[in-house]
Amino acid sequence: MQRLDPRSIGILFVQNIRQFIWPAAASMLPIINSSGKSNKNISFVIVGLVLAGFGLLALTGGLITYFRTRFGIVGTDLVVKKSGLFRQDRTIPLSKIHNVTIRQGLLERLLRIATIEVETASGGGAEAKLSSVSLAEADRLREALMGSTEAQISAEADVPSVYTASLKDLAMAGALQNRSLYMIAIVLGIFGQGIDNVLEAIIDRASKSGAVKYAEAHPLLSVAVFAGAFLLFLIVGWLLSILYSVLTFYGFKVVRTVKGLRISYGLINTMQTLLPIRKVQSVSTNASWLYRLVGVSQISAQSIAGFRPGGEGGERIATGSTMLAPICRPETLREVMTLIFPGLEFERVQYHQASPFWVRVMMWRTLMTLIIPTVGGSLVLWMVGRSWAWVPFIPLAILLIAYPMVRLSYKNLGYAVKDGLILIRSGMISLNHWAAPITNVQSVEVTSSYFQRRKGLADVLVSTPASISTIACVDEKAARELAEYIIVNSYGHGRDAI
Amino acid sequence: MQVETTGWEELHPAVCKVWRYSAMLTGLIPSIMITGLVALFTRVSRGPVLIFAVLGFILGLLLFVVVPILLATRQYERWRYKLTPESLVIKKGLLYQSERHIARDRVQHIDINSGPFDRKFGLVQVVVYAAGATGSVGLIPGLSPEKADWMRAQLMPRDEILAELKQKDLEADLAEQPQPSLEPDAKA
Repeated sequence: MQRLDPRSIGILFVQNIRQFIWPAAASMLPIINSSGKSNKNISFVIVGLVLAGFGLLALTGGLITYFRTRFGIVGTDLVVKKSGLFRQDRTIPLSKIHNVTIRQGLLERLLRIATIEVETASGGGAEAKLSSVSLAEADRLREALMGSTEAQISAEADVPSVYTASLKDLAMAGALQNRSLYMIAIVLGIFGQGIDNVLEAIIDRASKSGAVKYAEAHPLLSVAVFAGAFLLFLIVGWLLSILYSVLTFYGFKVVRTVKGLRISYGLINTMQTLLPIRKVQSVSTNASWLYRLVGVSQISAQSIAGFRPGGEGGERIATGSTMLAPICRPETLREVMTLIFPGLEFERVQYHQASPFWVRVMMWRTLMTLIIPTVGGSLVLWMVGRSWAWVPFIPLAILLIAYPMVRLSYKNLGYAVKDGLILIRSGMISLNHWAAPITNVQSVEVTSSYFQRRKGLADVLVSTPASISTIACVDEKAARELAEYIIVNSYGHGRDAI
Repeated sequence: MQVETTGWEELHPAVCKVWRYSAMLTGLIPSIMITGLVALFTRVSRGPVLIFAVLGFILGLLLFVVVPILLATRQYERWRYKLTPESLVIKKGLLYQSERHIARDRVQHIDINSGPFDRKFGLVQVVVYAAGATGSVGLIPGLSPEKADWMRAQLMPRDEILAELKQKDLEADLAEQPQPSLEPDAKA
């Protein structure tokens, strides 16, 4: 058993500071605001004390974690012990490890240390997180956990990789992802306080310079200015989206190793994940309408463990989904699919169509979800005695475009059972595929609404431990047969998958 | 212990009473909410508040207490479960019907729960969990404790099955041994 690297205290200190920064700022705001000029010195002292308090807290946190934690490989188990008030002895059998990630933030790269995260089947997040292990130790652990060393990995540089993303690809991925508005929202959120002041100042100056009067005289001009500003925001958001994509997925590379797929990427924060192919529960591909226009798609694999970096602050969102390719051409898609599901000719799969009755079911659902709030809202307004009780009826206009949209979605629906796999296709203007070996399915549900039953139709929900997908509107008898077929063929493989 | 199967089994008839009692309790909350909303709007539109509030309460009771109580028997008639050699199948639902097949060897653990009404009628619920973050995959209400114990024994992995699965694990591990074509050296 051994301790973490002493440098971990520094890393943990910085991580804690990041956590404390908002409460600290929040607690200081009233002090700064309330202070008049007379007691400025006192408020500075208080602010200093508060800062020092938070700093001390962060440092103590780091020290406690460092002194509490011991870890090591004992026999065939990874053991992580935490002593102190809340003791914890965690033993993870090496064979149960699903996923190992070596992560380096900017500071960690400077200090030449890394964080190791180990995951097993019980989702939710990393089961063992070893913050700040020296690179040599990380390499040793990696060898024990993943069966490959740094030397092997550098040798793998000669092995042709399954997938690599060039800078151009990543820029395109960023450009095609509809993230610009989301990006603007983030920027506004961060600088929210400041923007108010800036806007006020602009309006103030404008009214002083007589621009407001000018705009009032020329209403078209102000519309043009607003449109221009909006366009500018969109372009900025779009550029930020490209930048985000490039920074996050820089050097995206998937290599096939003896133990599984090794995925590595990142410019500022680097990620290295090992995903045993045997532990992949399902694979899904997604192509938004922009992606479809260019003829590319995104691939991700669902395993019980796994996470992706969640945008800001580097926190992780446990999704059970590992990105295999942020953007790829059909030939790469085919290659990756055959690698994970040998023998599958992804592009030649013939899908069973859903029943055309699905269109009517969806139209009814849309109508119902629109009508209830509309009628309800209108009734309330009418009771209150407003003359504009007709306003809630406006959203019903959606029905006009609903039909073509539902028709489009219908075209994309389909399922196939082929070579021990179940494949499901769906999407409206985007196109999604989901594929899983039947042996990974743990439950199947045949559901039918009243209207579906009248037409002898049913939906089938297929669940693997990591994902659920729905086959919409198929013949009820076929649905039952399919459910039984899947369960009978999945039985006896329970321990293969998990 | 042998792997046993059953035909379509019914729940214990007393479960209807459990459902009716629960409906009385849980239906009160939405009824009171409806009453409050109706009273508020009547007040805003300057109508007779008391009359409308009482009407609203009666409507709430009808929707959330009386209807579930009346439907309990029909719901009970639809509720069926069966054990096949490979799976546990649960069939239920009136308007929205579902038939769920859970592979027997995927069951990770089983809870046997009983609420206050369950206990009053000497019943328990069996909750079936599988791997992954999806939580429980199946629930069978209204079982006698003996039946629940039998069900648990049937669904939990037994010794001989575990041995068989271990063997499979070993084979899979052997299959995953390094293959020459994947070695970097061989490529060079």
